[in-house]
Amino acid sequence: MKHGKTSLAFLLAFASAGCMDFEGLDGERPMSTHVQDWRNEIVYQVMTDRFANGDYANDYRVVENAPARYHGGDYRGIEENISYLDDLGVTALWISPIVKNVETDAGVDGYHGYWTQDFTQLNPHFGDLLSLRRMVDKAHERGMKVILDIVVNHVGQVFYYDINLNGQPDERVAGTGPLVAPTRPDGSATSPVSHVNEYDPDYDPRGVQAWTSLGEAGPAPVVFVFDPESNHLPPEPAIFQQPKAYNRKGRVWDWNVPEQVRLGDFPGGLKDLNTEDPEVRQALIDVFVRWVELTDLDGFRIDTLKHVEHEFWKTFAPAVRQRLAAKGKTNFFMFGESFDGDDKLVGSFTFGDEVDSVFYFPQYYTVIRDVFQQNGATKKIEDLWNQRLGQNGNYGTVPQPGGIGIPPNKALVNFLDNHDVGRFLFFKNDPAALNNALLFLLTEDGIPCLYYGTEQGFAGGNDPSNREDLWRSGFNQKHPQYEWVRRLARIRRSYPALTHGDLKVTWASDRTGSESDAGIFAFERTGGDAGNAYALVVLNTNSSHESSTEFSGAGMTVQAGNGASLVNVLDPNETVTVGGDGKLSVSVPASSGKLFVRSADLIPGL
Amino acid sequence: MCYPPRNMKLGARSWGALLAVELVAGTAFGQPGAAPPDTTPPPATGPTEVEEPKPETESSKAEAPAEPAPRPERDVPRGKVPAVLGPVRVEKAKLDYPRSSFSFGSYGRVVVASDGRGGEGRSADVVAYGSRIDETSYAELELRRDDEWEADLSSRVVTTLALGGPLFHYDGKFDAKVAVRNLYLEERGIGDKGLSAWAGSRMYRGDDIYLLDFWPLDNLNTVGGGVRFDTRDDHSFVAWHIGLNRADDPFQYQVEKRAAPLNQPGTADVAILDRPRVISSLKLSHIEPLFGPNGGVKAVLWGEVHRLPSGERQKQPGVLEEVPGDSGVLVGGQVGLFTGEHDTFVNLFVRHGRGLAAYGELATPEGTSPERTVEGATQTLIGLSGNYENHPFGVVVGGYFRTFREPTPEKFNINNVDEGIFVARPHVFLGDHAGVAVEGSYQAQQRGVLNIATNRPLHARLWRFGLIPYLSPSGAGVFKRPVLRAILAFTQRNDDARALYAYDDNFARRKVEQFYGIGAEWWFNSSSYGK
Repeated sequence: MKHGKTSLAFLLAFASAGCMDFEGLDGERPMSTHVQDWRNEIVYQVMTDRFANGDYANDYRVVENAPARYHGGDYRGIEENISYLDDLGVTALWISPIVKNVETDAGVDGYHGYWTQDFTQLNPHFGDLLSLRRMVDKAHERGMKVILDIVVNHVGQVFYYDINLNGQPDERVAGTGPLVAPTRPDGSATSPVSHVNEYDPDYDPRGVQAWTSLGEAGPAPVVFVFDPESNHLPPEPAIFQQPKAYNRKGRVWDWNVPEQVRLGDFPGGLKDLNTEDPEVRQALIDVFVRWVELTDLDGFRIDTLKHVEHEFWKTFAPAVRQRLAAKGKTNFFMFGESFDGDDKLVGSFTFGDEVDSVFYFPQYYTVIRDVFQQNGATKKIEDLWNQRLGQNGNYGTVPQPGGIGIPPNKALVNFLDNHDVGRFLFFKNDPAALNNALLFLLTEDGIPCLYYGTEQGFAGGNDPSNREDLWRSGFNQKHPQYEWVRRLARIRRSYPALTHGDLKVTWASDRTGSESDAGIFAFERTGGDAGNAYALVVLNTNSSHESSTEFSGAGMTVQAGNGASLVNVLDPNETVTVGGDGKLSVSVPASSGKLFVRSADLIPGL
Repeated sequence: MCYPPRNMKLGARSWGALLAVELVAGTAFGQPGAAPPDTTPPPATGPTEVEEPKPETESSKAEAPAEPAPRPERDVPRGKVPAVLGPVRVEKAKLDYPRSSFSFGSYGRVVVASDGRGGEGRSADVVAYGSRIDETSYAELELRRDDEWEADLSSRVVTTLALGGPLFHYDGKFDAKVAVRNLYLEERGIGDKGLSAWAGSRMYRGDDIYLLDFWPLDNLNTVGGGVRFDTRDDHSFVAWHIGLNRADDPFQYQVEKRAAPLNQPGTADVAILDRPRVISSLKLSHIEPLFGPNGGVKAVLWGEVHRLPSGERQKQPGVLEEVPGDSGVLVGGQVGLFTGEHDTFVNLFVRHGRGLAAYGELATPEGTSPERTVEGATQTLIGLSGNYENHPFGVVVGGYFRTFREPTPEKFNINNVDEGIFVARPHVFLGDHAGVAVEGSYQAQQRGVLNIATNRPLHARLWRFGLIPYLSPSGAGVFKRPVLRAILAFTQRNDDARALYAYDDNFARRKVEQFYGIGAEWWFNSSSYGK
């Protein structure tokens, strides 16, 4: 009987009870800076649930044919398709919020990630920490960055206001006031009836009030829900289980009132956080810095930026930068979403220690919608840009201390569409117009951001129709839009004028009809950090006829140099020569564009 | 006592001869109503003999071992015939058969325990097959009918009802769980007298690790049948079996409502997916007598093949998805030594399964490959059991190490496990009818996840110490039953062991668990064994 050796082997095996190789994904994560210059980056917005399903084991409650339910996408799916993204030419992945959400509410799932329930845990639908780390590592190996979407303005539907003081969440139906017209057929008056949903009552500047038929009864108690099945649970960390962590004023119903916008709950019962409370601020700093420490992420995309006061950002942003820099991570990019066409408002968050950049929503409305989709006058583009390019513009001209080292007005995040608006092709079903808009996006200054699915010609309408499953496209790398984006991305990264050059409008037009320059918009990229590099972009946004850079005898003046020979990168057979007077005439077919560089600078094969 | 059928008319001589045969038979079998000639093979290795089915509370839990088998005898020994009748030459074919007997057997354990903090004593194990010191109540009631039709041709009907808790006297409700375990007929002595066959529902098992309530090598619970051939010396046999089972899980079975046929109002339940798993096994066993008249060496080779056909499943209302077929193979072996004295033995088990066979026969996978199969799943296990007695002392040990991997593309998931346990339970026999046992065990489990609180791989560990004083009316011995016993156990669990429990669960908070229980365990005539 060989007891000795067998028993020893047993004991050793039992004592260790571990043969798994965690491939270095466990333990502390050393952080480092993976970005040299954010102007070199092309951001790609990934809706994690809808990109690729790489692991069926986390597919619980998946209902693929319901747009507002979980579909199964996860970090593993992103990792497995990283080459698709690398080939496309994007360099920074903006992923959905990673924190645990309210699972489902009123038949809609938290697949998008904007319904935080637990800031300290990951959303298990997308994978665990090992899976997230490995995806980030794989991205970094290819020189790609990962940007985390964060929400500090609100959490999910974690409590209700017990307005009728009956201890349960309900929709109260009650008569609300004096008799008013119209009268009934018999001539008697009617009384309006209101429906008050205790999860989502109207904004009240005093705070949501309890009331009965006998009158108001003081502030409505906040009652946290406890339903593990739907993950309606008191939030974590513990500070968020205290009523003082919330503003408790009810849902925004007038978006023109700044106080409501800042303090009101988001529609759908999303509870607004009291970001003026020091403990809340500190908790938010701690939780999101921790996620970077755990995963070595490269930036934050900040949701609902304008709904949080400036003082919060002046605390949050510097604290994040300092703590990450102390651990080796600098150049950490923080840019926010201020879903508003008010250029001054949007830009106001780029001054004085706040965020590095914002989404250029004013450009989305004024340029993408009005000009590229609705054939508006290109003069609007010039007018809008003039509001940011000057020293007294609406956007910061000084880099944030400890930030990305680029003035905000030159680092705006430009986009054609996103998860909150219908896709470009939904509003204008014209692939040529889309291609033209992509040319605009990938040649202007700032940082381009591409919404997933654009490269596959997706055309979904508003949420949730614009959140299609990318895997249904088969990740077709022969799709015309994919090939076009890939080409433009390579061009952008190859010509420093397009990433670093200053911007100057050389032609814009008020005309949108049959005029010779109707729809023309042209701009140069040169100087600045690009030095002598030069690029000239000429776009024709009208979809009905060819236009050119002249009108009534006036021509376009460029800085390329008198007599300079320029070649169209998009069609190297086309060359033009700048006149002795510095003028250049370029004709562009409808819904198309041209990109000129000095002939000597042409890089063949792009 | 066996008598001819009532309608058979016998003369006085025939009745006298019958009486003589009864007396002879009584001498051979000891008492009226005893079982027919036992044709079981040579002694088993200790108390963990083949084919001693035991109940399970879960498919992975093993139950009590069987009693040691008596030395088998093929031929009925001839005894003296009472002088009053003189020697009688009996024609067996006419007078001895058919003979029948009925027997009742049972395995059972009852326990009630406190955690020392006002709560119920709970099992604190983290590994799949943990120490049974803190197990719950369970019982099997077994009824057997044995018939001997001719010389060496017999049949046996075995029915075993399993009863799980909770007990009525504990919760005041009629909610105990009942399951039919054995329900089969076995025929022995077909054709070549070494051949036997069976069909029905059967706990088809080999040797267990008693301390873990676990059958590490062969343990199949199916409804099917099998054949077995024993060599003339009863030292070797080969057994083949095939069976089906179908877990009530969307992996194998799904029922959805459809409109009733013939345009009738209402709905009809339709099995959209119905795919039983087919399992076939082959066992080769040999015992070589050594170490004295009752000792020996035992070697077993074991193999399983699993097959699951393809099917179709409703993924969502109106959406069907293909479910591919699956298969798996398992091989294993056992080497054992036994002295035949005082239940002293040691067994070493090895088992490796792939694909569907990496899962227990009633288990359903949680994670699959991208092709929605379990191809690529693996499970490897090494097990040990043993007992040594040198009165007044004895020690029983058990343990295993197991590694399991799911076939998911995500390499790290919570179901990927490396785990092991080692348990030792020394006894001191106090006279012939009492004793004290102490138990020490260590178990550890690593799962393919990080404990996010520590940022380290989850590595749960438990140390346990127990004290079991008992009364044993049947005599001194580790496996003597019945026993009345008290159980005191203390379990220390590390942070990762606590992390396995949900928030608000006491096990998520407490470092040390206590278990104070009283109970009993018995087994007798629990099941037929041998062929």
